[in-house]
Amino acid sequence: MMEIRYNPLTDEWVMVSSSRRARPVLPSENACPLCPGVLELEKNYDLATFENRFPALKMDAPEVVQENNLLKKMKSKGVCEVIMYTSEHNSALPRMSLNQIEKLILVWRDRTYEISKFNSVKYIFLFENRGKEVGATLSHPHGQLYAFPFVPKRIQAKLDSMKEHYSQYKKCVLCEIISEEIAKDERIIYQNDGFIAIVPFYARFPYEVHIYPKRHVTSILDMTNNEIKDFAKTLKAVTMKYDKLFAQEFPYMMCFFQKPFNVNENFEDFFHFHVEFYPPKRDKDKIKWMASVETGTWNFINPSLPKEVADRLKDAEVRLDD
Amino acid sequence: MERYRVILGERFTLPNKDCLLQFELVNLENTKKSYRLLKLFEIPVNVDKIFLNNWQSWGSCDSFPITLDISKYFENPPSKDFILAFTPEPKIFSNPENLMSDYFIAYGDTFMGFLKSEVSHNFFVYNKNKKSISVYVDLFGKELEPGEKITLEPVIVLKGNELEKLLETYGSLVADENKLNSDKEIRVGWCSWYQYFTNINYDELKKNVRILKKLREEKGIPYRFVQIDDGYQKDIGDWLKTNSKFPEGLNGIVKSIKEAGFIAGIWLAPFSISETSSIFLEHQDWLVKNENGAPKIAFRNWEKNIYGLDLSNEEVLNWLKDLFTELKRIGFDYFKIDFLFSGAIPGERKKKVSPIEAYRTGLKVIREAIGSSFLLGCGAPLLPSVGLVDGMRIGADTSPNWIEDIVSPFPNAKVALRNVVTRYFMHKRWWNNDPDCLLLRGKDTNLSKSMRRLYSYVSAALSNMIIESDDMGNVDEDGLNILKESLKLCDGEPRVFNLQTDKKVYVIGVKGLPNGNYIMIANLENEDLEIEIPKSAKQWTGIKSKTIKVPARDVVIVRDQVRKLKVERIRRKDDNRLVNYYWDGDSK
Ligand SMILES: [Zn+2]
Ligand SMILES: [Zn+2]
Repeated sequence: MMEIRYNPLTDEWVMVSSSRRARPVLPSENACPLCPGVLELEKNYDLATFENRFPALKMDAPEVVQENNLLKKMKSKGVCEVIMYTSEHNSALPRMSLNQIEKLILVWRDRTYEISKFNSVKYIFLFENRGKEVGATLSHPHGQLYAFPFVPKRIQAKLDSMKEHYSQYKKCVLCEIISEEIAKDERIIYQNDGFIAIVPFYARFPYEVHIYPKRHVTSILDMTNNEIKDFAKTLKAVTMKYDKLFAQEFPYMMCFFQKPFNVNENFEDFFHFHVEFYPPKRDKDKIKWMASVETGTWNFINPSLPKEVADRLKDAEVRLDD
Repeated sequence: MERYRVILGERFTLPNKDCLLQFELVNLENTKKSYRLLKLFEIPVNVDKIFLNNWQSWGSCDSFPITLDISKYFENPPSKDFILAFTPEPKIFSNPENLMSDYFIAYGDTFMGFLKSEVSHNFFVYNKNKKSISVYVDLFGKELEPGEKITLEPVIVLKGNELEKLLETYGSLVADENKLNSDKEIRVGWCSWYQYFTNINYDELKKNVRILKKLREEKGIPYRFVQIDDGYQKDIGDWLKTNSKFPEGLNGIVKSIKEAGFIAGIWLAPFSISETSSIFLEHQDWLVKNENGAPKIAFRNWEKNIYGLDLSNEEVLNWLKDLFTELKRIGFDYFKIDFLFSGAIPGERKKKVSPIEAYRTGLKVIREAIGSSFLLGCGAPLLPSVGLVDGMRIGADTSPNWIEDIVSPFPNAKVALRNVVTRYFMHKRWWNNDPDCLLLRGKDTNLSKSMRRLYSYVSAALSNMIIESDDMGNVDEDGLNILKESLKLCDGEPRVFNLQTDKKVYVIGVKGLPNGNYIMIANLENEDLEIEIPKSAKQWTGIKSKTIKVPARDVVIVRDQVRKLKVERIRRKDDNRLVNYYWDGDSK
């Protein structure tokens, strides 16, 4: 069963994907299916992407029959891909060279560009789940891409809110926040010519960090060569700081927000590309759960002060030599 | 955005902010009433120049001084015979006191535009004496019962100093209103017109198909469709019979194109009927009439009077349906439909519908008959066509000549290219823009190499359709290289930054391409110029360059080169899943 179901109570879409296919057998119990030549990637590789073995969305998804107007559904037409950051099993964003992260950004760009050519694709979501706390079962460094045939609810909320600000002030809200944060310099944990990383004023998770390009760009495709280099440094700095904070591999969800594709609306002036990190921890050994309030009301209670977390992350010194 | 509902006749002041205006028309009399031209409102305007748009493909879209006199361009034939091509309101249009703008207009920091034209013709008139802009809707005699109320087609007002942003926003709002969804292959094509004009013959067509096939196979130039233009048909209106230059008929044309692996395309003027065609002889009742009941001349061309089909007549619609069904059956899959305005001329029709409603009915019949085949409009009222065509010509005919005059709408590479720039915002929002053909040959042309490059690069930067029109035997390496370079410029996110410049030198920023952003400076003037790159263009692309020298009638590109990875895309043998392997350019 593979389809997307509409929830008329919240105006959101739910992807149903229940596969009965058996998991493939690995050569040995401890073998990593993402290492070169084991299972998913037949060849040796530097960076690679592949379509999920058990995708929630695929281009040749089965047709759906509309039963009635109440219980609406749509075809699970889209793309789910795994993005391999490196063939080195024990690496991770904070341990990868800047050169490797730059190449990874080029791969993200290539996938975004290629997949945006499908007119049915409306939103391309790049993300990484790091650590078992957020459900990552394989430790080999990788991220994922979901290409949706609709604009997901939270993205739509962002678009609506940013558009509202633009129509009132004729200015991009993130451009304004960036100038404000730079002027105040209270919550910036790292910056270079092209990017700033901050614990935002409106952080929902205790260790939430956002990365904003200083120039108004709407997708990862808009970045210049220098910005790609600066983006690589920023990603490395943020993830190194996370690992340094408690001297442990810090789990996180890393989400990229770019403009929708193939939608007849002019997002160019009000939408601003950004990255959000949501670490599921509230302390070294304590989990920040998505519990009733967070899940049921979409309201977060942040038990820490963003400025104080920013100070600690700023003080976690890291070197970005290579 | 705020919405205002206004009852026509009530006092109304235009709000000084973005808003949507909806006007309601109520018949307050006790009898049936018919409505023609309605003025929605009039506002005083104190500016030196205005951004104007003509209703149809070939008409100008540009910023003009308010002193412009368009009427003088239509005083004598051949333009005089073509006035209905340029307006369904010839009296208002040719009054030298007026500057008319169809669908949208911009002045100072204000943009106004209609979101659709499905029933009425909607336009703006700047009056030079009154120094005011009046907003009009022409209902062409639509009748309302006593007490009946209708909502007129909505007007949007946008405020801002960057016209490109307002145009893009307007373009998207129109697209949304019309639920457009365009997903068609648009390049590269070949068309016979700008080399052969009406002299195209079967042997020349076959020769070109042969060369195009060779170029595709040996040089990897992705030619996909071949479209025969005007010159094959027996007469304007007799489309299924060919003239003596095509002895093997339409079947022969299709066969020779498809055998070489191309999509077969055909030109026709489906709403036009010549005075010598069989339809004119047999079915004068199928034509739009003047007030005396005689067939009304839509225009003169091919040294003949041409009439417009009455698209409110069921018999005409059936004929149209059969015509396109047959063309599709013969094997055509790409249709360039031209002189479409002749279906929308004002006049008497069988049913009481507006010319715009009749026009849309005709287009819908064609759309349904050809299914998912590509439909390219030309010589067409713009807004009524949104949602019904896949591609649209957005400028005058190009030409192997470059003429400085940018008001006259007759074939001219410069005036055609100007509209490619000024109407860039319609592309992908309303349809695929057709910039008109690229003429890349070195012979039989008055276009210099730099002009050819300029035209081609600008069309590509704006990601338009790419259609070449040359005797392919005349295209040398220079021509092929221009085409190859152009194709590398396509498919980014373009924006034009100085649409209202007095000198026709445009700065186009393009972002969103994997190999990097670029700024293109297109100089349409006959002088070398030094251009300061607008801050907004630098912001769009991240390119920091300040001033750029651009030679006369040439183009300069400033690039931000992004590092490249090599990629191998393969499908797994076991389950066909896509796998991409990436590595550094230098090593593997
Ligand atoms: Zn591994
Ligand atoms: Zn911004």
